[in-house]
Amino acid sequence: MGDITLFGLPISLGTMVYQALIFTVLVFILKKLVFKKLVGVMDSRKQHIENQLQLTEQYKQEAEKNLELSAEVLNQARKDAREIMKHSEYEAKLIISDAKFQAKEIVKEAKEELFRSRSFMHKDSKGA
Amino acid sequence: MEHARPQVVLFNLTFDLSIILTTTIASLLVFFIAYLATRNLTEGIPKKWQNFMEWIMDFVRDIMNNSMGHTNNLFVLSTGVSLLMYLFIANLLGVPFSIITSEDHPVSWWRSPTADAHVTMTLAIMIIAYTHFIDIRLHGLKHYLLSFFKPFKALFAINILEQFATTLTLGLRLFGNIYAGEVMLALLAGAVTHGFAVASLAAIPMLIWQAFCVFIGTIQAYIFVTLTMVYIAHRLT
Repeated sequence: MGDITLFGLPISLGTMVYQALIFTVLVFILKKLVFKKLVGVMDSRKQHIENQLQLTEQYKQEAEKNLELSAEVLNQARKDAREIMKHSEYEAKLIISDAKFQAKEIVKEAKEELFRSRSFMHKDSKGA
Repeated sequence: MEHARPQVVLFNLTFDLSIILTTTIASLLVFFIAYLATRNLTEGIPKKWQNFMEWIMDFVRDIMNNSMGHTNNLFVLSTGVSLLMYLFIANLLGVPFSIITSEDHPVSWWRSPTADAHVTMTLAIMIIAYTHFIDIRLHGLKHYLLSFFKPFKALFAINILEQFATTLTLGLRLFGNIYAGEVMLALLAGAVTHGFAVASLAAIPMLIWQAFCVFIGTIQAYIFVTLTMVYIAHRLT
């Protein structure tokens, strides 16, 4: 039983028409209701991930730059600290030597004074 | 093992009711799976059902990219995904059971719709017609008609024959594989009528053969989609 026969095989055209119809309808409905949205979502997620990756790359570069900068600042600070230390040591030495010199002066003066006062006393006692 | 089909005649066209039943159910299943899986779409981390649909989409996209290079044709992608899901479900419909009523003469109501050449040949004809359509739309009618005489005129007959051959092989490959599986399943299931001993002997082969039918159904759906993409790609260049 069939509408036409091809090489002795009965072919029911109605079945074929129905099959063609239902599959076409299925494709178009799915395309409109499902695949359009799904492809949109997948594409926008892809875009989102690409953006995020670019951002991370950018942040990474920035972080590297910042790290370099901070290392430089640290080096500078160390250098400064060393210089300040050297400077202060030198100053301290200066102060100490100065102080020693002054102390010597004071001692010398005091001795001289003592000597002078003694000789004065001597003269005084001779005169009396 | 050939049973009568439940056929009716409407508007001078014969309709096979069992095929109409199973194709409608297969289409509805595909539609509901696809629709319900993508009801709550998210751009963030997809849930398992959305993930499943996206996996199928990516799978078909890969097939497309392999055959026709990078492309974003939504219609071809939709066709591929629908075809894959539809054929997979249609191939599996007849695996778990079949329904045959037997009042005066046995009538087969439930089996894989793809185990009938009407269904597979219709799909194959639609796909080949679509490839011809895009050829005409992309390159014009003149180029399309001249393409039958390339590389030289003597090959005209072979070019025409090739189109019929691709259509026939595309449709009949799927039909033959699924039909053979169903015949074997029917034979094994028929062992039940020969007593308990025969039935228990046939149980294990039946199980194995069902697993094999699932495998064949999956592979054939994949092959059908891949060939569709290859035929479309052939027309694009």
